[in-house]
Amino acid sequence: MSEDRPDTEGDVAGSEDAPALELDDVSVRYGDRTVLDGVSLSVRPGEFLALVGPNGAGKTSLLRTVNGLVTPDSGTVRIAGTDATTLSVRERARRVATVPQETSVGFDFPVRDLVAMGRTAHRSRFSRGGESDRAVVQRALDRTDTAGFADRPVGSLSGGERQRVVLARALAQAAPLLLLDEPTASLDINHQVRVLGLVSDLVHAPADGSTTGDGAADTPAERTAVAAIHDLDLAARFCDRVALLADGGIQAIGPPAAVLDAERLRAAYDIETVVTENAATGTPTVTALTDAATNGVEPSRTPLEADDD
Amino acid sequence: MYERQRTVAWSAGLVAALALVTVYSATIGPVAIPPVAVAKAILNDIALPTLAAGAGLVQWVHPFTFPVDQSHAVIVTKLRLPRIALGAAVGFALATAGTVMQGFFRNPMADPSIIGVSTGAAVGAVAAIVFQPAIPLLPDLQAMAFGMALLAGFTVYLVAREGGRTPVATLLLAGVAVQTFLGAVVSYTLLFAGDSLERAVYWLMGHLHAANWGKVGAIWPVAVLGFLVTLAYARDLNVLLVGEDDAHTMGVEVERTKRVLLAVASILTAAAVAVAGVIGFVGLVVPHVMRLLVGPDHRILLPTSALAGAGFLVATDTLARAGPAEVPVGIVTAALGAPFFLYLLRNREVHSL
Repeated sequence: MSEDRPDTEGDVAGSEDAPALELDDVSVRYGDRTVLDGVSLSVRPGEFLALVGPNGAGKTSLLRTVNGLVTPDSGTVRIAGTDATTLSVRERARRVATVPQETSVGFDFPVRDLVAMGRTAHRSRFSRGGESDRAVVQRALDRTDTAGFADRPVGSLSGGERQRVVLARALAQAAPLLLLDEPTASLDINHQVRVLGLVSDLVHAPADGSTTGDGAADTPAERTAVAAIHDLDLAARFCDRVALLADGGIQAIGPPAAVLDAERLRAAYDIETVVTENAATGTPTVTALTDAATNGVEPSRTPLEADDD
Repeated sequence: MYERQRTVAWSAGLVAALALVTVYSATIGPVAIPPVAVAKAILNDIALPTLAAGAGLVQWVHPFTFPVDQSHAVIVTKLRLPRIALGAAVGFALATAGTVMQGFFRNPMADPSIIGVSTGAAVGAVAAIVFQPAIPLLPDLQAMAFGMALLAGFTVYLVAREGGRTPVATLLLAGVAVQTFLGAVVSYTLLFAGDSLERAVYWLMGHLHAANWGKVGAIWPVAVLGFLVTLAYARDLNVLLVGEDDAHTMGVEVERTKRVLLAVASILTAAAVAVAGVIGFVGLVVPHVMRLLVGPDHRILLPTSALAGAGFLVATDTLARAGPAEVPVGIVTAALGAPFFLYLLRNREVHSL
């Protein structure tokens, strides 16, 4: 989309060495159930991190401690070096944008209006949207390839289109940190790859749009993304690092090839898997084996015939 | 901007419609007065404040002095106009509150009375009517109704509050429960009504026949002020429609916004019910119809609903007093509003917000 634009990685305004996101010994309990148990995590600016792990591992809860929907019972969340508890709702929304898991926007707002809602944290209650606001919204529409149906009601879109619109809304928020909760869960393979490819582009080639001189708040100089992803292959293919969550803690974190191995996956998911290199992408591919298959076949490096579902 | 122009155009059209309904309504009554005479009488009644040169006092100057039959002028300005102005204010307030409630609850069935405010007002008013002479120092009916309405709304809010949050579903259920309880209180009070039973029942039906400029002067400032506050929150209401969690991550202080909107909607409803009794369906139907016409964006929906509510109630009240015997307007709004709503329900997309 914007490959031929110069990368402006070096000259980030105020590029302290602070991580884009840092969790320090964060615990979350719902009632007497511990969802996150002393999680520490550091994400550097310009990184795309995948959170993987079984259902109930705490992926969504972790994201919610970052965007403020859940307050940790103990521990500290720092966003670009700032303790998140010191941020107002509005200030936090300028730093963290979220693409939620459910995008059931069942009403008739036109796409452009929905995307413009992303500007909420940048506008005062009594001001009308200015020229720069509209420019940011337009860039978000262009970047996500949604400008073509900007005037259609959101309710008339397909699931894949809608997901891109919600992503555009998050981009319009112009926050350096982007959180995505299962962004591909309900999408077909085409849209799965397009959405994650887009996020990867946003993180790794963040200079979208010439800086139109209307202020630094429009486009963050460097973007960081953290996504909860169920599909291990997609996580391995698009993300710089993978954090494997299970039982409320991070079991392993690192480059996909280092984290995804049969031993760890068995511990986390309680299932036998085979990890091979994907012939097309060169990234790890995880194949889960059924119990029946593991009884007969030694967990070997020949997964194909064992896959019977 | 396009949206702004649309809002202005729709509002201008609805103001014109309200003016027409007002003039027409003022011609109706035991004494038929021609529309031109009505218009002249209304214009004659307009007074503009001007600073008197020497005295340093504000003087009221009437810019228009059309020749009008004096008795006609009195009927229009002293009898019919206050009633029309009161109806407009009540419709304006109820429709505003209804728009806010539907957006706030993300529920198409929400109307201004959903959190028990109207039933609270009914308790206050009926108590005032029944016990007024017997118990001395009881505040007057309007004050009782207004106070009890706010008390009921506040109680519902407190009951629904858990751990710093007020889940919308809990609020709705608490509202239904409190409404039911207060309904029982009203019925029980009516048992002791005796001679005042008729007056109490008549009040409960919702009416505008006791209008005077004093009531008009009391409710319009509340209606306009409340409306302006909700208008300032129009964008937040839009974002809230996407869901509270999403709104939070986009920078909306969800709980604070809900508190403000709930308080304003309750005050608007309480004020309307205090002066006119329980007038149903205006707050439910008008926002739905306007949503069909102008879309879900509260920046245009709020002003158009408010103005349409004003026009609608003036029109229905005209109908209510046009027959040989006057009917409480609450009966007319419900009798007209409910079938119309059913028609919309069957034919259009009213199910969604």
